[in-house]
Amino acid sequence: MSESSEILRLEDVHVRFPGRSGLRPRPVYAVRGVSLHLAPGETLGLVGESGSGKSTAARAALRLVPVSSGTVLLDGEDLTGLGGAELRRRRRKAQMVFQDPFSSLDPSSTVGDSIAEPLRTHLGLGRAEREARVAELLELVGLDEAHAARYPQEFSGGQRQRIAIARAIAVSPAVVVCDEAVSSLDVSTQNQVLNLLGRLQRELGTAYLFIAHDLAVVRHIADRVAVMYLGEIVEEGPTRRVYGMPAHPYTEALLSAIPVPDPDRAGLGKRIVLPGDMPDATAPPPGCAFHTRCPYAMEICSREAPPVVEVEGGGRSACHLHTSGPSLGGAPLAGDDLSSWRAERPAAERTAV
Amino acid sequence: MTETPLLEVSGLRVEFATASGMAAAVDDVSFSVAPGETVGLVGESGSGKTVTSLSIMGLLPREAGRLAGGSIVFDGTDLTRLSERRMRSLRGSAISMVFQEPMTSLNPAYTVGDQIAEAVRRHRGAGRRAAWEEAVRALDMVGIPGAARRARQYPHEFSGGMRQRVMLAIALVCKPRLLIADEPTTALDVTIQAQLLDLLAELRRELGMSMLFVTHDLGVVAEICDRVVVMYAGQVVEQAPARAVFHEPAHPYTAALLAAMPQAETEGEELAYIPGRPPALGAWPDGCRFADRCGHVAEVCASPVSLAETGEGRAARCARTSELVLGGAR
Repeated sequence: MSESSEILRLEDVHVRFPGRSGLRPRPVYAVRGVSLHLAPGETLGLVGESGSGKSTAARAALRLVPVSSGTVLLDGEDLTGLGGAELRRRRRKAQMVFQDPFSSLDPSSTVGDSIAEPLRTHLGLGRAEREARVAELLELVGLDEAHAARYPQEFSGGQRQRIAIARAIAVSPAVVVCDEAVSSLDVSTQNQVLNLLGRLQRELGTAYLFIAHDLAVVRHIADRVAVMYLGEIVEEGPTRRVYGMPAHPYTEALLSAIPVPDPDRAGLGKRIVLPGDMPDATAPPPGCAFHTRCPYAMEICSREAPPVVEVEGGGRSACHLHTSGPSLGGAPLAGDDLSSWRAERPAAERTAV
Repeated sequence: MTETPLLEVSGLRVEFATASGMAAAVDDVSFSVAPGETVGLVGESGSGKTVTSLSIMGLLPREAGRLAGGSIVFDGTDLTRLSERRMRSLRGSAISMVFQEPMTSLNPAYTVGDQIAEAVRRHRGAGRRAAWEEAVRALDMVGIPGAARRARQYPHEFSGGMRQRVMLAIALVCKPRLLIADEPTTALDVTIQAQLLDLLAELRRELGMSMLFVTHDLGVVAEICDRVVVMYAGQVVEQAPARAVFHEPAHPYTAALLAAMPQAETEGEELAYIPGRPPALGAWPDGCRFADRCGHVAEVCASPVSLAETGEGRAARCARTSELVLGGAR
């Protein structure tokens, strides 16, 4: 992909937090060597369990957390070494919408003032211009001009999330990071906000980095998906390919755990239930970090980090199965091949909890 | 259903104090749970599903809520007439509950083994050693590896999914006949949710208990429930076997909820939603409470409507249900 068609690029980004407890606190390796890119007007879904580092990776993209090493490019500009006013100025191109609309808006400011604030600080607009733009933004997100004079607590959860979106798009960012932006909403309200995000993207050409634990929502909204496990991207690719033909065992297990909303198709037996929990991020396992829970783990997996390989149908995956597994030569393993191979493995390895 | 139900809720009405006087958060709610059956109690926030489950447990917040009518018959006894002392002895033994938040429900100052053993000693009058052994067995039953060692650890040493298993161990250690699970998997990752749903299905078979599964997630309902009770604005609007609810919903609200689930098939389309908002507590209309948001609304919907049988083991609260053809899950 050429430089000009990218609005955001992370290259081998690491985020390490100092440990907080114990006599000899160990650092937390929250993000380990994440590389991703985002084209203008595109949506990249970032999925993974809690503790996978997906939120931290997104915050690293906005330099909201210190980046230990690696590069963050926003619209071709390197944010990594920047600080202070220069960072704030460049960061205008990327905005964020958080999960909790109840705490992300200042309860003592009117909705109009909340939306106008970035217009003043980033664009230096005068009062009349700000008011006109606030009215325009409120209408854009499906609210009314008159709502500007009211306070956040007078609105429902869905309406507050619309206000947060209006505030995020006020300065015409090229990228909006949505961190579990619809997770606390009832399904009907959630859908209205997702439809709004889709419409805004078509009208304004905004790119989204969309983080959600709800995999069905991500399938709906994302063009591409990146799957994270213990601070690393284990698989990435076009949404349809990743959901239809996962190339990494973790992705396969994650997708198989989505409840099927049809009692005839809901299969407790078809699930790949991963044993145990995600390992401690202060001490990621050697080799492939997933090998301690992987139903297909081989001897090599605990020794060597898997190489990143291209996957048929688009994207990439980091798993030894592609290079050292039962299907040699880098061909992607999925579907029937894998299930028959798995069937030969002792049941205890697969279902131990 | 010919079997005598284990739990029968009839005409339940629960009132809460609001700025404009008492208002019914739950109004004329009736349903039953048969022995060994898992019933899903489904609805959005504010529908009254949690108030209903707290009423069954006798755990309504005393200052704010009040049981204003109806009966809750459990194994032949009307729980609404029991003294607090007898209710307390029932709670945690014959009827147990698990909640969404395992961290806030566990006491951080005691080991998990002590907290499980406490339930055994209180309800069974077991001695210290016997109760501890029972606690370790319970931890083992809910799939916690190294149960004997883990019993001596504190809640903060457990992950979210493991804490929910500990809660389950506390709830199940006295072999309850009914488990009320209120959004027990909502705060968990999908993989951990899958582990817990499998575990619940297995334990239900082993212990032969009944389950009332309170959730907003229809996917979870499809995985685990035999029958479904759908609530809207404090009322039951539909109840039916799970298959029927998903394939041939009888109430427009159920159909709208099903249509709103993002599916592979809806890729690229606008997602369906229900326009407007549920009516606020205390501002419920006399007629159908869903009428304002319903795509099938007609004149008849302004009149009060009761829950009426629509087929074998099925009921809906919709005046137009017989003339409507509603779509199910895609």
